[in-house]
Amino acid sequence: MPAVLLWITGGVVLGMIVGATPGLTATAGVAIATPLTFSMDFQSAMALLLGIYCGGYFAGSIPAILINTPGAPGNAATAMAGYPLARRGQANLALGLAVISSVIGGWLSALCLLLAAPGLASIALKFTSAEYFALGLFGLTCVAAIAGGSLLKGITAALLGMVLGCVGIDPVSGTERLTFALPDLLGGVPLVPALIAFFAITELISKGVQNSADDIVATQDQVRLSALLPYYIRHKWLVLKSAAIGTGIGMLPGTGPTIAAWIAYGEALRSEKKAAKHEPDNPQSEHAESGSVPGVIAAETANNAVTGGALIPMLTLGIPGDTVTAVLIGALLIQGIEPGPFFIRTETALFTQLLLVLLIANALVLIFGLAARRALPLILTIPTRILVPVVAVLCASGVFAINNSSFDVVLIAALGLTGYLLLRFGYPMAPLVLGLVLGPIVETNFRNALAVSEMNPVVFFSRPISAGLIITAILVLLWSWRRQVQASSG
Amino acid sequence: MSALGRYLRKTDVIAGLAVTAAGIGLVILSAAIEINPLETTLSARVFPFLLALGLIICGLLTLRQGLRADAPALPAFNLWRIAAIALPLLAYYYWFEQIDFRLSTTVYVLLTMLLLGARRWQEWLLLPPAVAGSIYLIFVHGFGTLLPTWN
Repeated sequence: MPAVLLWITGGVVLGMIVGATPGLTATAGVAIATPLTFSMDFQSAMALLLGIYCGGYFAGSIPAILINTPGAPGNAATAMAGYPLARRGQANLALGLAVISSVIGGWLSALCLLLAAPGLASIALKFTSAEYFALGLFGLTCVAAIAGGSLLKGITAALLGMVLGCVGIDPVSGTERLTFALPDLLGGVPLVPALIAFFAITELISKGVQNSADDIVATQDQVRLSALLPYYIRHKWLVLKSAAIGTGIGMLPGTGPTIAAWIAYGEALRSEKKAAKHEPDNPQSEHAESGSVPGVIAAETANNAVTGGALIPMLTLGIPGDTVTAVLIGALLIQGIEPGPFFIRTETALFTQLLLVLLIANALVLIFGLAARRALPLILTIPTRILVPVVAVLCASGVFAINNSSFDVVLIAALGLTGYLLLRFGYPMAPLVLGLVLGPIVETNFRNALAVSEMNPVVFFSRPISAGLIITAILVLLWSWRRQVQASSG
Repeated sequence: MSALGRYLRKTDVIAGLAVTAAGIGLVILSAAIEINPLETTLSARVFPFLLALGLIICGLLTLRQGLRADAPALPAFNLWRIAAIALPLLAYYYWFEQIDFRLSTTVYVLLTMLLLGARRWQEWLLLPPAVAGSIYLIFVHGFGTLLPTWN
């Protein structure tokens, strides 16, 4: 047992380092550590890998909140909600909420794994291309409508992101698209470099261009642990909803924390605006543009709730729920264990050990995260003249480390400059990034669903989940449009 | 100032024109995508074409917003400042693989610090090599990843 605890601690620490480094993700950390588990027993191997998994998923929120650079794609929504808080002197609060939300998300999803794994996995199996298309469309419309600013510009940004998602070899027909004959673009616009470009490079250009007088970060408020509790009492339903979103999306193969975090973030902003409408004088009613406490809570809860959710199809069906669980299947096979429909029934002891490791790893994330949250905001006091070149070097090194591709390094400069211009013209970054993530999912499943239904578009409305999601997406758009019309006429 | 000149100083007019132009460009690019004759579903050019139509519609609607009298004016662009940040960054990223990481990073960090107003010689002397060296050590020896070197 002490050895297992040591491996979990090592895994969490390694995961937090990898996760907090822009360009390196929990997937990379688990992939790097998997060969090390050849000579380990099952408990130690899973302790190390699940420690990296949980630590990595949380730690991406640290650079997201402090320097607007998501450590991993799943933390991009946290950057939108948390970075403005840090600029307003509330980095300590944002980091504290991120840690606690991550752990709550991890624990609730582990509970789901324990109680409902076989039943939930069978729901995930019912998802066909029509449902995936509808889910993607729903996520896009939510964020385009709610990300802040004009609805029109939100939709335009989402469309531009989807155009970027079309670049490369078409996954359905194998045809080359929008590559400008550049071989480096055959695989498409890589996600992590694009995220780094749209968040970090855009931000560092903005920071550098600002006059030094504008570069004053508010004095950081120190927030006691007990002061964080009221936020969770106030947003208890949001926490549960976000954990359900994270676990639910984690269960769906081919998705992952990015989609979960964005949908939960969109949902948080929608509820927040609804609350602000009913309580206009409430000082806790905040807006997306100036940071959002519920946004941080929702994004981080959903992001880490994916960990337990993604393990459900992996353990019950042998299908990975996200990229890390795809690597974890390899690690299980190294141990001579084949996950599948009989795993929980025949290997109950191993299943219990996995759950325990997951719970302990999340507890360690809580301890390390809370311990570090007072020291981490010191990053914000680094002057722009030092922070800008250091972040630029970190971005280039991180991006180069992913594929050893200098093209990706040039790409982040080009996309970053484009992102800066878009931002200056009032186009939000969130729908742009989500368009890039969801565009290929929406397109592929749209075409596959039509192919299966012999080109009959009724397929999207004849299935209840798909129809429900599409109708909700339309309602969200109409609601947002009506709200803007009312705001401009009022 | 002419009416056209006044309109070209509106954020949404420029943004609308740019997005519409991007949409038209995408229509042309979509038309050039090859079609696989064996495909049993929508061809590879349909989705980009739909996105292009969406961009043209959004661009025209943005343009219409920009033509209103109360539309916001263009944001101020400090071109010298943007160039001072962007040009060293572009050069550093463009030649990233060709030059030894430790050398290029030291030069880039020093240059950017100077352009952003670093005045203390201790900072010039110590920080650039320290940043280059520590990031190199972390990535190459800590994470076991590759960074460009000459040896």
